[in-house]
Amino acid sequence: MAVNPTATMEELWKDISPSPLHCHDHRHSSSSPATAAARQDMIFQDFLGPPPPTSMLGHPTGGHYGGSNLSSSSVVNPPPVTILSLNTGKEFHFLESPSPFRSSSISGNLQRGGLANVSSAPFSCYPFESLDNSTPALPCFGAKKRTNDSDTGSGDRRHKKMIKNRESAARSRARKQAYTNELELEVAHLMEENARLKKQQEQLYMASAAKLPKKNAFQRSSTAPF
Amino acid sequence: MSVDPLVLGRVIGDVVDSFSPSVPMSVIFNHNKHVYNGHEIFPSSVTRKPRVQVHGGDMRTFFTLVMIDPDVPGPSDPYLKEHLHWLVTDIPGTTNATFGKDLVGYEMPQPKIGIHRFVFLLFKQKCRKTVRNPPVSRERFSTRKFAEENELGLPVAALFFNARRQATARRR
Repeated sequence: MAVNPTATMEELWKDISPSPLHCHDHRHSSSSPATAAARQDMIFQDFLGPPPPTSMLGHPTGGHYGGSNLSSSSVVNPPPVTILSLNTGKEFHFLESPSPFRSSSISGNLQRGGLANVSSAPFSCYPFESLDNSTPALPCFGAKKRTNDSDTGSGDRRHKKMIKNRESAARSRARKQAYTNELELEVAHLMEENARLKKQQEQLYMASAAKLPKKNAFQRSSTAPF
Repeated sequence: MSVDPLVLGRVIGDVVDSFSPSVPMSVIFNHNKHVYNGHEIFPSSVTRKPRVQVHGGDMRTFFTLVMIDPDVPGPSDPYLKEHLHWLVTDIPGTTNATFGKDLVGYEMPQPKIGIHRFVFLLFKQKCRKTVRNPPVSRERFSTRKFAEENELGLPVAALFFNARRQATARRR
């Protein structure tokens, strides 16, 4: 099966019928991804199916990664086979940055444990999920080939999020400014009160001091009659 | 020239219209936690009603105190605004809220999303027992509407603080 450059993504995925970790059959097939991995011709991404659940539901082999008709020869050439090279690359250039990272960390794991290493499954799924949440423009594979609605939808979502963030930032700045202004007002108020109280205290002291000399002055008192 | 914190914090705007404070008011939680405009307080510090002192008027003037949260459920989208936390009427001048009547009992702030403002507003009543009918619900309260319905006019004092959901102790 030759890779047809004009083929749609969906067709390509159907052809690949990726079979990652839970299908042990593939080890036996000569064209299985396991041997391909052993040959280090493929990277882990090739084993991952189309983004769940959309593509998976429509998959001919059912809701699980299955199929053994992975024709590695066509897929692996030219090595190293990545999603980037499966297509002409114009669709998947956005995957460029994350994929090298993942392939370096995951393919090593694969070579050690082989396809049956189910424990890497959660690890493999997770980065894609986090991608899906954080960057609307960068969902799972094949997502870019979805209808235009999701493109404009994700653009809208991004726009709304940006607006929301701006508002939040503006509120935060306003909060900070309000706090500062209130502090300044309080300081001014307290300084005023302090000055007033000091003045009042001095006045009271002066008043009491004015009385004292009189009190301390010797006064004639009646002497004893004897 | 610094802008009024009530304006900066959008209390004037979101909750009430511009007014001139004419009666000083102080709100103190737990005997030592003063409420300053725009300052943040932990929800754990405001579980019980504060002491609200009216530093003005006289024993023959009566005041109504309203405490609301205009940021429910969250400040970025407060579609449930406002939430009524406390309503006290017939507070005589120069006294505090304990001398008034709790039409709606104090409910402690429990902000779920984001940083909420909690606003205290003091209104001067025309006479005693102006506010006869307590609001039926704490939800979707409108201070402006309430003031209008009870002929309270503009507030004579306002104070607000910020609070956010208190982080729970987590095992790390």
